[in-house]
Amino acid sequence: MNHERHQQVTDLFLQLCDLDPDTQKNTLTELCGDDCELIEEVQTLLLQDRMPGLEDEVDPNQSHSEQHVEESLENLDDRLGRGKILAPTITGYELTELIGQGGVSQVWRASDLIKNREVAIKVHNLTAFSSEDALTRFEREIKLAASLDHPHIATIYDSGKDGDIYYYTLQLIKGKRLDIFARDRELHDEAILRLFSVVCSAVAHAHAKAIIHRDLKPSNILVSPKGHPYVLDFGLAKAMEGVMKEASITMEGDIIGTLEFMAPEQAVGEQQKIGMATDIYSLGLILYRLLTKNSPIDSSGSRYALLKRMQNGEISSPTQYRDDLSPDIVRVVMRCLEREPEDRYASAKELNKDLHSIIRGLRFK
Amino acid sequence: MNDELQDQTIQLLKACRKLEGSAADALLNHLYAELKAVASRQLRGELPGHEWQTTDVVHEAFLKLMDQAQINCTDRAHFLALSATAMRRLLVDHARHRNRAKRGGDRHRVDLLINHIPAADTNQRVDVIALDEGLNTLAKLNERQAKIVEMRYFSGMTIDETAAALDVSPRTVKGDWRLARAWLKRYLDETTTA
Repeated sequence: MNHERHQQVTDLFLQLCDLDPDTQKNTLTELCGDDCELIEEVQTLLLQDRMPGLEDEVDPNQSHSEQHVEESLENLDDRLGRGKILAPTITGYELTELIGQGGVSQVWRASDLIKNREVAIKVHNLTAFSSEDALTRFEREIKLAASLDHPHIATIYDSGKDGDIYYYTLQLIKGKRLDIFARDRELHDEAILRLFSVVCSAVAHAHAKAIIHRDLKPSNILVSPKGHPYVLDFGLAKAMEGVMKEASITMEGDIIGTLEFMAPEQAVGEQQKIGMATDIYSLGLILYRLLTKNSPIDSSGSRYALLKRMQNGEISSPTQYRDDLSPDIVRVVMRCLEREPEDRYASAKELNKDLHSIIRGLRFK
Repeated sequence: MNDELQDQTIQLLKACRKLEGSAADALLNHLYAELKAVASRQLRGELPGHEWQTTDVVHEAFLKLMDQAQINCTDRAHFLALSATAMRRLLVDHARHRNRAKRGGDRHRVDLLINHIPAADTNQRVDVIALDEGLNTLAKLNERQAKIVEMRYFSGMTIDETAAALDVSPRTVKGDWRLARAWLKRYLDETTTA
């Protein structure tokens, strides 16, 4: 590739990029004749143009573009004669569909070939950078989380290691993220509080066993079509932390995504202050968001500025977005969001008690 | 930025406008040093032991620097353009340093958080070293396109600011920008999934 050729590609790209994909294809063939290499080059760029990534502004129509991505990806795979992302091989399971992806992990839908059931399997490629010791601790955390037995906590079935891949299997939940569920069903306040209170009871169960979630956020809570919420990934945050710390890996990738739902003590890394009240803070943020569809913290500007705001406890009252909220609800939410852990509810059980009395009050209004 | 530093910056900017020899280089080095100093001061003073915040602290430092250097409009564009290069160099150096310090094993990523907003999805985060390599390759094909990416990503310049700094129309910037993004996405796909 040289300057002239690249300029030619640029010109063709700009001439075609606003057309629909079919017209693009036809026009490109007309313009390039039998220069297959040129067609291929421009086509891959046009395809990339339709996919998200490297955005410098937040796209308000993200979901719209997401629809195109899947199509584009399939097209690309077909054209390049390439399969989809290769499923790792794990003895005893058949991995069928990638359903989620994080920094060092993937979640697949899978068949448990021995027990003959559908499961979700979370695979981590950790061994490449961790000691046996760290992995043992990881396994211990997962085993501890697996001891939780609650109808609204996704059950962990099994865990193990296959080659370099560490995995654990859990109950396959077919549902939507809590916030998306609430939005799609247009839930009113009472329904939101009821649903949220069930989530609290799940968290309370774990707290009673001294297991802290540490990463509660709407994407970790799935709601089935019948409206049953399930909390996922209990204990995982701690399990991961150990492994990451040992490997002195930059936490960047994994922290950025969830900073919005972190408690101040977590965001600034005051490990010794992390406890049940940390989960309470996250629960408060989730409830705030469900009720107001907004975030209590101004997230504009840099992440550093956001961290400072979190540290200073610059929280805006939900009444800023909803002036019709009952003062009782506002009080509960704000108590969860106190900057100092000791000023929040001491446990999810205590929070749930207040929620129940509010729900009762709403009903008799 | 203290007064002396500010005077120095303005002097250098004036020299740049008159295209005096290596004034642009001098300003670049000056900005690089200052960015680095501000960034490490902030890291030390405010949030010790959080290496993962470095890129953002650098962004913050850069913005502060920009606010405090009172410069007029054309100077501002020029200043931004040079700062973008300094920012890029700083972040790449930082990433390389981290990798060297680690020695052996997989190299780990230092991410650039493109729109400075806590991103829920990974699409808005880019591996600094991979992006730098991609930009070097692109620069060989079309220097302006690479420059535009640098300005948009590394100093968050708007389309209009970028156009002013490069002395081309905003329309040209938009077109080059769109092509360059598609080109880099493909580059990153090919290099990171290989």
